[in-house]
Amino acid sequence: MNDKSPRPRAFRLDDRRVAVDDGPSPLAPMATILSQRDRLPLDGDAPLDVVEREVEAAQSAGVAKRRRLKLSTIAWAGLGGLVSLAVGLWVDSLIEALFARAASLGAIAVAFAVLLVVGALGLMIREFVAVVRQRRIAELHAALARARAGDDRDAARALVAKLAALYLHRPETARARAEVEAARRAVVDGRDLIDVAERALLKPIDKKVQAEIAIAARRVSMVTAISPRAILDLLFVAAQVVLVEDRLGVTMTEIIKAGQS
Amino acid sequence: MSLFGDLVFEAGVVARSLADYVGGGALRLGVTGLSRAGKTVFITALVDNLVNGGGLPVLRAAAEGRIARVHLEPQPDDAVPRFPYEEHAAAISGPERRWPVSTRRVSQLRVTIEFERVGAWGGARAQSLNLDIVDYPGEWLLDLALLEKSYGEWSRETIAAARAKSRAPVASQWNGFLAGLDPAAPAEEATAVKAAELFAAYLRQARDATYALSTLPPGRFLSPGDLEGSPALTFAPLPLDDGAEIAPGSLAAMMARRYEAYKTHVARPFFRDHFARLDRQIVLVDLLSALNSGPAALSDLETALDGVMHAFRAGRASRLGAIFRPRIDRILFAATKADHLHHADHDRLEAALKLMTSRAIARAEGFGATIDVVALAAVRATREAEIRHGGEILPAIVGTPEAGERIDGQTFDGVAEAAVFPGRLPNDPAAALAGEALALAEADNDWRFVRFRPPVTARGAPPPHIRLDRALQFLIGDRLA
Repeated sequence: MNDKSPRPRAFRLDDRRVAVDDGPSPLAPMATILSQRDRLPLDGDAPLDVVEREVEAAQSAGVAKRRRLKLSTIAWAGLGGLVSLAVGLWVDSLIEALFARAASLGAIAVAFAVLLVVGALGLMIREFVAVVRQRRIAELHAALARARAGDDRDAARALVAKLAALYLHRPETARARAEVEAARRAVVDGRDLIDVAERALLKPIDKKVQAEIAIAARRVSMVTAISPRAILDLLFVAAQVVLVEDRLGVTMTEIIKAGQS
Repeated sequence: MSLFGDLVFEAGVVARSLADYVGGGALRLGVTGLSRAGKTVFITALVDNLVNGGGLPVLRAAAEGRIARVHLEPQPDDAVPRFPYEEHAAAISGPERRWPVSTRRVSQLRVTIEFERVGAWGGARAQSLNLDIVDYPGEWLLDLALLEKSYGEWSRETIAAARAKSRAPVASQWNGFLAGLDPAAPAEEATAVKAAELFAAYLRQARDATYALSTLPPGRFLSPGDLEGSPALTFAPLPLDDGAEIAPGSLAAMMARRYEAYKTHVARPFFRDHFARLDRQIVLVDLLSALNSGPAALSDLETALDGVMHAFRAGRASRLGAIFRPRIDRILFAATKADHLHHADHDRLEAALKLMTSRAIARAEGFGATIDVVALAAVRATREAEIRHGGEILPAIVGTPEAGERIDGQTFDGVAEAAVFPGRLPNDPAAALAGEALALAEADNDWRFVRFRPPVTARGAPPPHIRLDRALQFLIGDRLA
């Protein structure tokens, strides 16, 4: 037999020479026993199944993509810069012209310009945060898919905790989160744990998304039926998308994903 | 077997199937395993978790909240004893905290699961599933091999096995008695009784925890059920020469007649009345005892599992296809007592069981049943911890070892809790199977699994488990979908 493997042994918890968790311990304990609750994540490169691979491909084409420099990108950057400069020039000359006419008008224009800058900055920051969050979710999704394919218990434990943390700000998921937490503490296999989390956390939200989309789709089809002009349809559809997005507090990609499933 | 006998047998099977169908198609779940595998505990925990709403997150219907009510119903088969669930549950979670007494005969319990499913046009549809849980000793399945063997063949094989090197120390008394026996002597009841007693004693000792052997037919010698002392169980193998004539009136003739009676009145009725009617099957395997004993016990267990598989498979290819046709479509092999090692080693336990059943599963291909392998603990008696000792960090389990269990020079009193590091299973399961050692001393093994007492549980709540829900999802999940 292999001499290197550690020998079986046992320690009674009422033995005075043994330290148990936070209990009173002797100065130089013979052995220390620490109860385990959580596991550390492990990195594993398990193969993905077909559906997961497709989802991965779609995601890497979208949010999680690394941007490459393309000719069209350069052209759009140039045009964008020029347009921004033109708008800046126009605003500048407008304010100057207003000041020339009357100082009070100029002051009002400056105030509006400040509002514009503050608002635009706010929008940009929000969009940026959303993109970062999206990317994080995409990465989490990929990691969960890997852990599920590999039935990796330890990775699943850590990832499911992260997933539950994403829903901390939604009070209606309190029960689902508690359920996931309980499953995380029990001895459940990686694949099963991820399935439990998916069912508890995501199913209700998926259902809600689908219901909202169904309602919006009904509205759109009615408007398409009675509207005289195609352009009105398009405007209405755009408005519906914004409305649905707003109501669910989710991003477009999530809506599309739910629509596909 | 005569053609007429086969026809009668087949008619019996058809009649029972028809009666089942008319009686409102219940799902018959067979729970079996060699002795001490944990059948009784498994059924008790399963029923307890279903009826009292234990945490079963992996069982889909339970997780989705579709199970409305689960209750026990009167046992439908009047001729079969009822599984005394209440008694066993009280033993586990009562103040005594002891494991229930073991399975010695067929018993049955009907659980009705009321659940709802989504209808074809939306809306909920209430349904109910009658789950008949049939508990029977796995040793009886090994009797199937006897149905194909004559008394002479069986005698030669059994005596050869008893004289094999690994079994010789257990069988010494029996072998000694056999040497002074003349098969051609006139039949005498006292000699037959003595032979049967010694033979049964040898089988029982071989099954004992120290040796942990498994392939020990005939099954009723180990768990006689209600046949204790009947002539059908009062026989033993005799040293007969190949092709030798058995003289009428001799001891051999009497033994041969009783052997045939065993086949007709004991083995065959079991297959007809119970086994041929099962829909799903879980085979519980106590791998840890075999691991404690050594590689010879493991390979013996492998042979036994192959024999069990033979019973499941017999429907199609073999000559027995003519006499009965099992309809089992899902089989789960479960390594029990997974709570006796740290979960980091569960995968290795599962891998070992997979390796041991691989031969059986490969040969079973094409008989139309789905087979899976899982490591589970129907009642989780331990919690997990790590031991830091002598510069090593060891994954361990904490629980109350049974009185008299020994590890590393310590003997437990059944009261004190202890943190136990049972050793690590090898990464390659084939390493555990290599060699021919049996009944190894603790020092010669890399691992030592001690038995634990049931856990302290809150009143009324089912005790915790490991992967019981996964097993249930595999076995009955599709009928609750």
